[in-house]
Amino acid sequence: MAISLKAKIKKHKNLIPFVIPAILFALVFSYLPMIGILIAFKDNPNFGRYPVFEAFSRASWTLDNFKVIFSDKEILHYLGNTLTISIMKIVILFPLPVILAVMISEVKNRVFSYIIQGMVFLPHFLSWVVITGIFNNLLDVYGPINNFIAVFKENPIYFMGEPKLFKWLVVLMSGWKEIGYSSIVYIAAITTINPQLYESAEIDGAGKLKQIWHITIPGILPTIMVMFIIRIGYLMDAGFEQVYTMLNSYTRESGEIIGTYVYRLGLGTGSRDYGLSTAVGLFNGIVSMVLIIVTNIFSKKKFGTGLW
Amino acid sequence: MKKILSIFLLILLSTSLFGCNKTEYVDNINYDIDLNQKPELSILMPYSGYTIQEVNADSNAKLIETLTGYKTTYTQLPSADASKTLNNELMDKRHYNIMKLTKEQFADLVKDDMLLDITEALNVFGSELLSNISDESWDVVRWNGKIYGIPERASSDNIENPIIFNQDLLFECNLNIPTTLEEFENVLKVLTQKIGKPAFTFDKYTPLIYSISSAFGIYSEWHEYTINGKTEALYYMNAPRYKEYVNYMHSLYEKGYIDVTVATNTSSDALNKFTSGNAAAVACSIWSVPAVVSGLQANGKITSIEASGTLDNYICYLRALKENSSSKEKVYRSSGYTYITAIPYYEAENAGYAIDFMNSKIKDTDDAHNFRSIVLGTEGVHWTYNSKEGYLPISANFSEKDTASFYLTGSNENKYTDYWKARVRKQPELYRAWSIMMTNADQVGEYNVVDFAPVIDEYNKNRSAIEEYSQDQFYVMLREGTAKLNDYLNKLNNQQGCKKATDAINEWYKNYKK
Repeated sequence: MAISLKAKIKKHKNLIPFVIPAILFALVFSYLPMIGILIAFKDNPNFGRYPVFEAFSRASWTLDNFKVIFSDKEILHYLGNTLTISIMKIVILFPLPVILAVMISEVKNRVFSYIIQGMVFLPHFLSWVVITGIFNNLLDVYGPINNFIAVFKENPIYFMGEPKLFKWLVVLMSGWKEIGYSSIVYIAAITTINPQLYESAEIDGAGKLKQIWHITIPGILPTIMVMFIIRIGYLMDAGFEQVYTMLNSYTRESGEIIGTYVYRLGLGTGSRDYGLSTAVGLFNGIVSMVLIIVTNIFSKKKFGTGLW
Repeated sequence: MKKILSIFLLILLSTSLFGCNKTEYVDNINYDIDLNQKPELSILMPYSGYTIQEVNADSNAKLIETLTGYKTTYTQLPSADASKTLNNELMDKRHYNIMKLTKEQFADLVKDDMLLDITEALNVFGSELLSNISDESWDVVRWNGKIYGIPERASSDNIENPIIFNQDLLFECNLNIPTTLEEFENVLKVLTQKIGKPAFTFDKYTPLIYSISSAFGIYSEWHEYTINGKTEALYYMNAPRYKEYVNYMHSLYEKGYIDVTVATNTSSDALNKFTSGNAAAVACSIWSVPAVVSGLQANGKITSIEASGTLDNYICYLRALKENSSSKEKVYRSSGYTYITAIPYYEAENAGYAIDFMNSKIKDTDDAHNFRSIVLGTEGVHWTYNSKEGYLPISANFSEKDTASFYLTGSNENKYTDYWKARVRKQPELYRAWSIMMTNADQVGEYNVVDFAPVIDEYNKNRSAIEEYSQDQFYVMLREGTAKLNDYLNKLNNQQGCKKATDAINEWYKNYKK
């Protein structure tokens, strides 16, 4: 029998104070700003000259921003790029931190293990501008990688200017930067597994691989699932900063994502079209919501579990 | 519970409303001020490349305080996202008496009604400004007939975009500096064979290499063309012979004479390739000559003694190609207004002092050579004068004046070009480059139409989209040829707003020409 909300509140009233900060946070930083969506329906309000609300009321209502978006066929193309990059990142990069965490936890030499951890965490703390710079040099036509390729092949490969390679490079660089840092959670989860399980498995004659497969992985599976669901929530965010620093004239066509498009539209040099970029943002949000709802329905039907 | 929640929400909403409701400012300039009671002025500057402590402690900043009698505090915008920061500062109504803005920032702000109309105040406080800045320049800062800023005209109208060749290699291969398209291709061919790599490089921001495009009649970004009897100003991508230009570049690329990474080269990448010997020719600005000289020195190609003289034997300059030997040489000559100084609308109260300050900086009369002192320094210490060569720098002390132009707020157009030449003379090779480029400049130079344009809203709004798009498409076509040019033009004109911009520019231009 369903319990009424009132009864539920009464039952858990001691816990209510603990959720208040979270509710407040969501209210102030997630829900209140949603009023700003209305800007998408305004004809470029002048926020510079007038106080926010006055500027808002001075600007006239319009649907022009949406007309501009949907008259640009490219928007669907950019949406496609965003999803492709994002899905590639999830499919290719999501399992890697788990594998890395398992490998690190199997290293018996403590000092070596710490050194490895330190080294793989490090790239996370570099900014994308720096990382793109590093890879630009590595992959330059006169750079080390092409010097190596020159042994087998006559012409150097222009990695950064090859539209077909762009998405793969995005995934590669993103992996290099984030795998180490993402593995922290799994390393922590592995340490909570009861060591007695391994001991008894060993007695039963299970080898290292069998131990990993039957004890470690199931042990951290809940963590993996939570991380996966969180990751899905960021599906429409294909990594603005990274793509922005990597784009050039050759790769714009295959690499422009919604994030970089909005930036060029709204905040790029010379233009300050808040209305238009809010409209693109809203469009982005709606697509994202639809995707998550669909994923959730699918997940509920197929695996019996979902976000809500 | 519901009650508490709703009360709470109400409080939250109302505080956020009050937070935004600041006092209104009135744009009334106070004319009833005592100019002897000088207040301290706060000045917002573009990014200088130095720390703000250095900017405030600079000898030129101190000199300006002494000359004008105003105490000043400078603040600078960051190098990245400058315009965004500027918008935020203004939204917060930060206290800046004076702001030195780029032309784009000015256009953006004036159209949003953020700047103070100083038309009347100039008559009261700005007599020197009015007499030392030309009417042509004042037109640039007019918006709806009123003056909103002080224009700072470029120091000198320069021809400044050469292709630099490695003279050493030209000697070795027995080649002269090419003058026609055909010769250019031939020179690149020989040089490419010689160094075993593509000979010619440039950076990702140079879709229009003036030295080459001039041979196809495309001299500047916006230029006047006559098509089917109709004369109007067009963007270079719409120029009648743009396709020929791109085809020519594409053929050079196909033949392997152009560096394959031009679309990702930063300016310094391109220069590095040239100075390290990975390329034999580079298209750049003559203001990169000092960087080329130090690059050659760093790569051990020249000694430090050679670096301090002219480099006749190491580098040479191609100003512009001609279509064939009988055609005339013409090329882009830059001009216009790099900075415009303005006052935010909410600082009207003290605008009189701000204008008085700028007025005194530009003053250059026999009893007070303020402008000369700021730009050049003191005679005998920083410079000497002889009637044949003009103002000459005294190199030991003149470096103190390197930063001087940063502090200008409007330039004395009657004097600046003469003073400015002393600055080019500082490095012998730069002066040589400049002299080569400027030979017969009046006959050769062609101006960019929009360099003299006032704020044109439709242009300003679409400008970055137009420029980015045409830049991208040039590099794509450099590699793939012009098969899709019509699609690109269609997109440029309709989607990126080039048609609207073109119409708006011509609306102004047809009156301007008269």
